[in-house]
Amino acid sequence: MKILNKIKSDNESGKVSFISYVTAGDPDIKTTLDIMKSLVNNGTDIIELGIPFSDPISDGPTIQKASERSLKKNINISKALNIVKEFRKEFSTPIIIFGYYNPFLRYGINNLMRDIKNVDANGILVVDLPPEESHQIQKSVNKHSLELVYLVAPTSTDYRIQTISNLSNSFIYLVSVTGVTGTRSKIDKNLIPFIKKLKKITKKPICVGFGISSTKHVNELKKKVNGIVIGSAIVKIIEKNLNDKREITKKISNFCRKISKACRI
Amino acid sequence: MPKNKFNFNSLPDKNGRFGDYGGMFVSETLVPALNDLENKYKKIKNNSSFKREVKNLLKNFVGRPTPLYLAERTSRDIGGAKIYLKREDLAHTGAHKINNTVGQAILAKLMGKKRIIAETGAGQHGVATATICALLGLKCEIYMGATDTFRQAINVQRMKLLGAKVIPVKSGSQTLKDALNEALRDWVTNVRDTFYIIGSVAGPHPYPMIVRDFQSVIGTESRKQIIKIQNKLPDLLIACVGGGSNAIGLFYPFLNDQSVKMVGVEAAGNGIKTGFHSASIGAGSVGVLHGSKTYILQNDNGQVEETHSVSAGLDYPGVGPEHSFLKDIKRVKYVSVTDIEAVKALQYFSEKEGIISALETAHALSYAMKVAKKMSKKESIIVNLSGRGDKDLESVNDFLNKNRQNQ
Repeated sequence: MKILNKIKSDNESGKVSFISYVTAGDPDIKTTLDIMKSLVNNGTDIIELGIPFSDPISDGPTIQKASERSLKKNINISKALNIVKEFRKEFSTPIIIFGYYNPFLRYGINNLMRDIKNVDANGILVVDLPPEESHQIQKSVNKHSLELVYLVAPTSTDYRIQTISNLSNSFIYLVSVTGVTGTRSKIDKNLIPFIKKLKKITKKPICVGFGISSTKHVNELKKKVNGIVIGSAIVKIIEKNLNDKREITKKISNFCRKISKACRI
Repeated sequence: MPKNKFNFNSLPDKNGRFGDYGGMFVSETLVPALNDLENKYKKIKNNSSFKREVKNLLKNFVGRPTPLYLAERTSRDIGGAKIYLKREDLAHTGAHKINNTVGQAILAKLMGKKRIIAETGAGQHGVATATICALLGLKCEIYMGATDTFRQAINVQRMKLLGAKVIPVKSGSQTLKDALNEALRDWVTNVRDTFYIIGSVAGPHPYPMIVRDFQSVIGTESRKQIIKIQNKLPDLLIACVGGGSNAIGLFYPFLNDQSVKMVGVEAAGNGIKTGFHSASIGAGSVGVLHGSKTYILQNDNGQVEETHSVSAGLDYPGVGPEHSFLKDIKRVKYVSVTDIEAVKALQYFSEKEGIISALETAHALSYAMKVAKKMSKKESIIVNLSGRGDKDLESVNDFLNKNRQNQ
């Protein structure tokens, strides 16, 4: 359970885990690999690698566009997993494959878990697969000793949180707001009380994402949760520097260093 | 055909499945809202004051029952089966869509939701939603693909006049699929105070069930009317299928009548072989789109493909999960009709019957003309005349002009 263990050791060493999201192949395969290296060299603890999808209904405009750029380069699951394979030549950072159900279903759930295991990625998060529909994938994940990350949302009832906690063999990914991915200026005022409630129901580590984008957000949350996830803020740097790939890695490195510093408790 | 193998009235099952199809493939944020909707709907639907309110509006506001009309000239001209038209074009706002919006909007009101959102392709569902929202005093915002706002400009004007806000969607192919994506993004953001009125039998459970139930009034009326007219059931039902709400509405009350055959007509666009079409069942494969497992048009990587049809309402890469189920068990046959065939049928019915149908509907009419020829005069067909064509005049003209230039 490499992801869980990493969060545990991060927390024990006095920091909240820093999870970074990038879309595979945005803006191209080689740059994604460079970005992943920069993320890790500048303090990212866990990487979420996104598989592009034509209809990303849980994503705001920033990650939608990343998905479109990646699809224009014909990125698919095999190519994304190849990036992981290359990355693994140098780094042992835990990797979560992140995406929507249809591309996974088309690839074949068992084949997917086998291949995720083969390239030594460590877990999977399927954003449109609530526990009601996750039976098949959970079985396959268990068989290959991978981790399946479930979402908990501000709308989740106590009963659902309990169900998800019982099913999960990884951390709980808490969606900070009702809504889609994307940077937001403020942390939702209901988040902290919700985290308190969540902790009463589950003993699983909690990582919070959706809208988290600045050191200020990290400082507000770091003593309350086990990890924070940053996606759109990183993807925005890519979007703004498409003409200069060196600038992308440089700016992402700077951003990560700041966030990573803020993650220290 | 299977004999009494399925009790169609018991579907979907408790997991929202029609066989293997359907379900609830959405992010966690929406699941509690969908569960809540299902529970409230099940509680309210048999409530006598709810039923009375829906019935009253359908009768006095929508103008139901709509007539079942024998297309005499066409039937004579073709010389085969009698063709009856279920005149949903005569329902208020000009299409069957209003049957569903009346039901869902009253449900929304009873659930205490003040804001309504909806997606629309041809604009008929948008207009039907805006109409009922105006009547009930609900705030209404409609997502519509930017491409569709041009080709169905009249409906955009109608929605605005009815007090709705129309939000053009500029992502993806800028058609119905993208409007649905954007409406779902809005709903996940405003789920606590917003009711999403889905316009077809697509989407996550319980929507395919709710929309079917509200549209079943089409089939229930047709069944009574045809028995009154000819003292026997029809031999064949025909309806066009995009998401498939008008088709399910007509078919559902007949599903247990083994002798009644049914055909759903998809849009073949420029022709299935050209790749420019919207035939999700005819040319697609099983996948998950907009929260439900069903036939979709996708590539080898599971990316949803762009579709084409001259009719905005059929221009959708998925289909309601119940249709996928009915296809697999062979209870309904699915065929497709090209743009050209549909436009020809639209012209034919305009000239012969004095009825300008919607382009969507014209697909069903075209197939009806083909198949009626092969049937005997003793047999009868009901075609769901799902909507009128006022909104399509410009699309039809553009299409005819382009075709003339190409010849």
